[in-house]
Amino acid sequence: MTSKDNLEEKLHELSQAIGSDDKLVENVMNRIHSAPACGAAGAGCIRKIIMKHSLTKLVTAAAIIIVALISISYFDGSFDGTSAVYAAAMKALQNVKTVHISGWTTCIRPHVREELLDTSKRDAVEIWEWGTEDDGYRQYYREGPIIEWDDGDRRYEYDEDNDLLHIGNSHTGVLKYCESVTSYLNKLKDRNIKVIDIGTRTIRNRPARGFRITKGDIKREDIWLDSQTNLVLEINAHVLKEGQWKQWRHGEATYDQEVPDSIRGYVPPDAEHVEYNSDIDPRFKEYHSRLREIAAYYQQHPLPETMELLLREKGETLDNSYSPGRLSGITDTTGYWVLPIQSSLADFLRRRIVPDGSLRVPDDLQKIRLNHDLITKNGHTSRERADFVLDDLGLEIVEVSEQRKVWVAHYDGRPLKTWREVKAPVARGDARHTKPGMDWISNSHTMKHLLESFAYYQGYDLRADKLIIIDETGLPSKPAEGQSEESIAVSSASPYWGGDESIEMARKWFREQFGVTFTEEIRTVTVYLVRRCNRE
Amino acid sequence: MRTDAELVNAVVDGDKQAFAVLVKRYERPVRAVALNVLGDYHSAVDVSQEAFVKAYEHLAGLRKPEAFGPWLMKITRRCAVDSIRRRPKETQLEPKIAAATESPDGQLDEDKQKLLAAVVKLPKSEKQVVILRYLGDNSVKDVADIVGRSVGTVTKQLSRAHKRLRKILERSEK
Repeated sequence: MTSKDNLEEKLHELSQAIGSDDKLVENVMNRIHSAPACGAAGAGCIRKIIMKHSLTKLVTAAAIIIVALISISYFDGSFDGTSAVYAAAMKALQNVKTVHISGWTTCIRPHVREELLDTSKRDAVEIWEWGTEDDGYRQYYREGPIIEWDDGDRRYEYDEDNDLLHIGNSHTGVLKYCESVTSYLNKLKDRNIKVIDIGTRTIRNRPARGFRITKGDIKREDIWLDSQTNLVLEINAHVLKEGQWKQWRHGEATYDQEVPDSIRGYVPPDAEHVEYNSDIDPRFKEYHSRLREIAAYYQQHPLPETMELLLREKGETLDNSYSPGRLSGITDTTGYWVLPIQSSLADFLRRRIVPDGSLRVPDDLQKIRLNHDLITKNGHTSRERADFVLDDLGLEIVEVSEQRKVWVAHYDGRPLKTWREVKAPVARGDARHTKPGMDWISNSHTMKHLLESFAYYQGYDLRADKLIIIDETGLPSKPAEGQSEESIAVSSASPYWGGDESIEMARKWFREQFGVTFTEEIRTVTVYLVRRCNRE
Repeated sequence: MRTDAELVNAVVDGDKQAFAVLVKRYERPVRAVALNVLGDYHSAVDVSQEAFVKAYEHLAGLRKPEAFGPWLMKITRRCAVDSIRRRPKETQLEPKIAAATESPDGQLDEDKQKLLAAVVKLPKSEKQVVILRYLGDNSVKDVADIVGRSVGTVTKQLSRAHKRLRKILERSEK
């Protein structure tokens, strides 16, 4: 194995041997959608909320303009010239039917990175945007080898270099009107962005006034507006590289041109590699079929008051059950969606019932296999979903008070180190096995999380007979309003504390790192016991 | 092609589907890392899923979205070693023994095991590009886009990785 080709060949063979799993994506997405709390998803995309329909889009665009104009009238003292320019330019766009931008770029990425800018190589840019007679909206976007085309039904992204075609749902419902232009104009009204007037010049025989938009130290954009029509004529973007401003993008805008037939009727090529968005991917047709079946069912039957658990009567496991679980004609209007549940009961329940270590599920119940679809909507807690599913299965959670030994965590009040200084007690090195005290995920962790994690590992078997921790440290569990989670973090590591052998090491670590000690006390605690319902 | 950082930001902004792209992108690399630790293909599949879910749950805390790849590999490795730990004692296999178990196409032969082990031993930046290039089946340009480095840098890193891999493999053959 000495030649490069041979090595590459063997690496490719290895890749083939590792193989791929059609189920992975949908399984992961299923679990993500069923996660009780998503650490990643935040506030959601505002654009998606306000731009659901082209009509809404136009109305919203108009509203933005009106708000901008009103704002100008009422911003006594804080009014500045660029807001007026923004408002005038947006108003001018109201009467535009098509936008065409042509030019070049040296970087086909939305975020400019200096190291990727090869300003000697330019890729052509061509953008068309226009409204259709049926109140639709179309966008054709080409940058070098990448073509994006939205036909109102599907959005195609074709990568010519790699002959790769990605097919997704149309974005026309979320596109901003004349986005290719308004994305720049919006910066004129952003008070956090520095804008200066750079004078006048003539562009294509039109008098133009320029504004320089500078954000940060290394990027600037010059936007030139027609002095008479207020429409954008030209946009030039620069980046500071090696002490010099280098242009990486140039665009010339024209309006109300006839859209060429080659653009209007663009058909993506038959690419060698074709990828789909999950919800239209033919590989997941069984699950989509199941969703259609469920949607049809609810066209004939009322939606549940809270939730409904549907058994997959055919017994199919729906290998391709790729959530998002949206129900056509139902999800958008009512908010109900489908949570597929294909797991053991133990896996479904784990971490849905808190506090950690207090859930007890008998072994025979832990093994129950679930192959269902839960019809639910946002607003229900994961505990509520768990209760509902259990009830449907003839099971219930009863709260049992038990006098038992608990660990009460106390904090001696010493000044804490910064969270980044606190590491796991055992270095991972090249260890193949996770040993007690090894870090699990490097991140910022609060004391609450560290204590919960300790109890979670100790109680992983869902027998609720090990550790229950009562946090009396007084250390904050939630950040103050406007503060991040990091503001109350105490550690960069959340060690693994599984097994009896972890316990002493954990005690030592908490004591030495934070001055947190545990006293063992007998207290009355609540244990959450899953059992069969007695419905007689 | 959207970069990792763009996809991560999209997910954090609420676009869950963007995470599906990351899953697809890192499916094989993640399985490779899991397989290297576990040896057993089926366990590696389970651990891969676990790793992605964990990554998703902690994505908001990822301070450098462009470092998603190495971060995910770290999570995967930990999921894998933790999975070994959680196995009932009688089924805990030493990785070297377990490595002889089946792969989707049958046996992961000894050469492939060695090669995989060698890839995993590469320095972080080289490992990332090798995994994305060969196990993720991406072009050099795509790898460059994904990791946010220039094509030239990636090419150099691949070249260095080749040399290092050969050395590691030669040593293991002695």
